[in-house]
Amino acid sequence: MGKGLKKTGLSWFTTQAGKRCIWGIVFLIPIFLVLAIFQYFPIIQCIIQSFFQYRITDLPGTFVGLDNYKAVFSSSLFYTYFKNTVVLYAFNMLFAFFVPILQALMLFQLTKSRGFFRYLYIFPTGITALAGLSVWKYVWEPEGGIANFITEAIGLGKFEWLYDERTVKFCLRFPGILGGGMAVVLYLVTMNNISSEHFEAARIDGANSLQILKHIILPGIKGMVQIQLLLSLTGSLLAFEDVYMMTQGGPGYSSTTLVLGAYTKAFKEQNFGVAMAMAVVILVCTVIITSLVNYFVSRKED
Amino acid sequence: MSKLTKNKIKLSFSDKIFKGIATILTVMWIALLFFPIYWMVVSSFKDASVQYADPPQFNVSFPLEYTVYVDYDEEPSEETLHKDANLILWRMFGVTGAQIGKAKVIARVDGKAVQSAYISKADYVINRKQLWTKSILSQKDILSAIPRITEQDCITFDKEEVKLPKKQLSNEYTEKMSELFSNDEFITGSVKSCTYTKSPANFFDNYKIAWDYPRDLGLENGLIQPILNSLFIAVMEFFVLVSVSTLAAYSVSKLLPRSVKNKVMIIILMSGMVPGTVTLIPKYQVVQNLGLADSFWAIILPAAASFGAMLLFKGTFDAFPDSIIEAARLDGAGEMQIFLKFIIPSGAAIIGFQAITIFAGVWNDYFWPMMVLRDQSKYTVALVMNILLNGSGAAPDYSVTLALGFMISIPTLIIYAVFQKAFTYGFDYSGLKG
Repeated sequence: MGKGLKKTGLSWFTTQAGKRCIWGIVFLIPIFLVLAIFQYFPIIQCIIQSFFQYRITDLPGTFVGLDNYKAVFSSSLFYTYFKNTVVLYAFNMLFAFFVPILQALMLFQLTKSRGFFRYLYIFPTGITALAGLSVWKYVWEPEGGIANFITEAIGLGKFEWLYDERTVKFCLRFPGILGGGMAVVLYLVTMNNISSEHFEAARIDGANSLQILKHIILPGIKGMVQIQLLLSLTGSLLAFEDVYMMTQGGPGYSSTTLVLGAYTKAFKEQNFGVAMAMAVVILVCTVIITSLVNYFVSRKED
Repeated sequence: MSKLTKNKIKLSFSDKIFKGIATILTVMWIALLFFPIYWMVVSSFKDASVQYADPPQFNVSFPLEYTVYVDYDEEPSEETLHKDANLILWRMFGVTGAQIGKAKVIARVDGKAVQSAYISKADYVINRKQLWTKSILSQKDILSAIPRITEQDCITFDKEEVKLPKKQLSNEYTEKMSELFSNDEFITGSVKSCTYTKSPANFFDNYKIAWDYPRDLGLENGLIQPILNSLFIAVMEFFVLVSVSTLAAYSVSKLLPRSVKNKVMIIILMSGMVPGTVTLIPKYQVVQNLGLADSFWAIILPAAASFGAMLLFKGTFDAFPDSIIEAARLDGAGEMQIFLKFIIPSGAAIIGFQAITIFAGVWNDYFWPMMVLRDQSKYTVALVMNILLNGSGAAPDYSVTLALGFMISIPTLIIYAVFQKAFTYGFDYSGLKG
């Protein structure tokens, strides 16, 4: 951005607009300082270190070229992490993704008590994240948990849930079925923004609720659903905090996601080079998805 | 918007059914949504001995007060009573499943109650960890610890007006207790019976235990220090984030030439594209190299550049009339003056919104603080919660964990209950208008 200004000559800075511009640059210093230190620099460091074998004594260590990347892609664990991430995403789609949409659709049908129900949908968001996870960990507890109480009552027998490789991913994403939270409001706002003329016209034409739902509301929220779909992709790709708190990636590696895998590589195995290479792979995926999201958003605005 | 076509066109029968189904499903789903809160509250009142009970206990039950009666031939000396009381009280809690809220010993001479000693469950749990680490106590363990117990002053001795429990009930646990103590050669008096009654006064003992839990981490005043730590981080983050993002937003909104403006926005937007999760590991190295490890600033500073906050501020500042700024400039006001006098007040609503979101964020955040904070005296409330849930390695004590969880959820629950409009307003505002 500095280049463009230099062309106009230094005298420009003594004009009103020029002075203002100097203040503008001064006011931007804090944010760019923070971004440079905690955003840009870590990214650059991440990329550089992914080509080195990390050694704490002489940083950045020895240059190993693409060896770290080869290590990532030849390790079977990486594919396990990848598979775990994909399966968790699939469960997320199955249980969590469509729930707020359905809830918002139903809420939209109600005219009188809509505000009240909306209030109730958001209220549980106030529960501290870790407290929410603790409740679910308790629910899945093989001894004394509600999950086993229910499965036994309906004759399915007992499960080990979070301690079983086969059920752990299901347990981690199943809570999403409760829905609620800001996502409901997001869809509700989108529906509210559909022009009321459409509804009135449809009513006059004698359309019933189901037809209105099919021909007006659903097309009206299609764009938002698409964006959320892409966002949930990055969300799932980057998910790790809740998984770490519930299972620490276990049992075995059965619930370790890509990010958690990189984290373990770095802090448990002290293998920073390979960890950074993994981070770069994740980074590239995220940037691709986010660009797609931005593309969709901008196309929607046009 | 919601008024649309209201009563203008009558709803048909099928529409009414449709609406009815939607109402019923909504109510059911909300009931389901509140289930975790219900389960958290119920479980937080459970006794540790029944939390793994199968089938789970679905209702809240009162803790019980157990009284062991010890008969003496003559009024016991203080020393004798202390010894007997300690031998009995500490081991009463070893009777699993009894759901003790309060353990009591009443000394009788000729059938008349003369002295009593008691300890509540909260005092038992809090002091027990400091006195002994082993799980099962023998008489010798207790006898050798009596000087230390006296020092901790956790047992209340009562000489005057010994009150007998109003109801004297018995169950399998009272039988177990009288059996346990009746043939005990270490006890001077003779134990004849044991009764129980409800003890509503000890209802919140799990909450007391949770509140005092940080003592185990070396924090003398319980949860107060972690709360202060969280508040400090939230307040500082608020000031830093608001200053950084308002300055940047004002610059982009009003100061920079149009051509530069968009480029700056794109640069900032692009940096928002790389999520913090990916750079977690190098960011940790940066924090360490800056000497910020184990400092609150390691949490505050990286959070200072918020793209979302900047966008919200920019939206407000864009709407601020240029004519006022021009007039102020003609009056000789400097940019900093204009910024403080006109621009900041115009963003008051967004600043308020930032205050509550930042508080809720800091209050909830655990992973990054867990990575950078080592010193336990700097732990935030979420980190204390994390230690309770995952720290011991063994199965967590859910009743105390959930008591703490519910306790620390209260501020955020209130925020979401009171400021819900603000959250949704922020939503409408942030360009998600569709």
